[in-house]
Amino acid sequence: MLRLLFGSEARVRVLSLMLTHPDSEFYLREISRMIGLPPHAVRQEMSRLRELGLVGADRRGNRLYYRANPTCPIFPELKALFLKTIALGDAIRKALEEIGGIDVAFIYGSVAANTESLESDVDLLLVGNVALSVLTPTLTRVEAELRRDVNVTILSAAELRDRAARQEPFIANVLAGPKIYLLGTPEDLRRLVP
Amino acid sequence: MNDATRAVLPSRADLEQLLAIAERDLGQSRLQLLHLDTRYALAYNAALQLATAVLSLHGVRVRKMAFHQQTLAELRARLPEAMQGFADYLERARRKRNAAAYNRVNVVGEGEVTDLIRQVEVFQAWVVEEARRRRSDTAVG
Repeated sequence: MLRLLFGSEARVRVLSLMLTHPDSEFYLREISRMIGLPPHAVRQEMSRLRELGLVGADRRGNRLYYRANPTCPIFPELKALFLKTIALGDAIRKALEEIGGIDVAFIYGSVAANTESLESDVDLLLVGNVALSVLTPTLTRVEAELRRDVNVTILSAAELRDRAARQEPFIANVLAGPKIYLLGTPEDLRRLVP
Repeated sequence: MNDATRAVLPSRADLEQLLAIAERDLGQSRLQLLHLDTRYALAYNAALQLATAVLSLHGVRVRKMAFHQQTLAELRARLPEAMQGFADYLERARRKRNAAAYNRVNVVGEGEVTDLIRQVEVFQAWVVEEARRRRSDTAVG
């Protein structure tokens, strides 16, 4: 989907790396190795992203280090879009399509709040009936691509309702905090937890 | 052998102890009256003891630094290819158990506990069979 929208596989790969690692900086050949594109293609895309203000650069010695610019006004929306699609959502959606049984899935915590650091994990809540052992191969692959740990909590709809009614602090915080939906919508969640 | 491990002489007594701890913790993880976080931690600990038992069968013990993580990494290297996904699953369980033990309460769902117990039961049966199959001094039963 994003390839069609952005019109370039290279742009999508570069954006995906930069948006999902807002606390990291990379030099040209490093990016080239990480995303499997020739250096000239990376340079071209970086130059466009710098013009848009999505990426900044800092020269140290003979290397130019690129870094995402989270203060760019469209950064949070663009990051959410990438997490929902190629970075995380597509892989999980595909796995769940085969398995079924998930009503709602969303990212919560620092990644959803845009306050993550270099060490932050991606926290994911799945509502439905699926075993973690079944999801593990997909999550392991996603973690390798994302270079971040993905921590999952799986609750049945009844369990979520019960915990919300008891105002368990963990669930209360998750429900009240920002979310990036991978499956389902805020309305679907409201139907589960009125 | 690497920096993270040291050689040990496989001992039948040690192996039996590890299997007994695993049996105890797996049994307690089934107790409904315990908190889900605690049940998860118990089932995970049973898996860790079983992983240590597998390494013991290979004459290896992990040094103390990052013991859990390293044990699971060493386990992965010694499991048949078809079972390596299980080591990935246990690594995920390790992180969840850490979150429940040190960072958050109620982070474990009931289905996650049931799934872990079921997976560890299968692993337990495999480890006992593996110990028998090796027919060494360490063999159990």
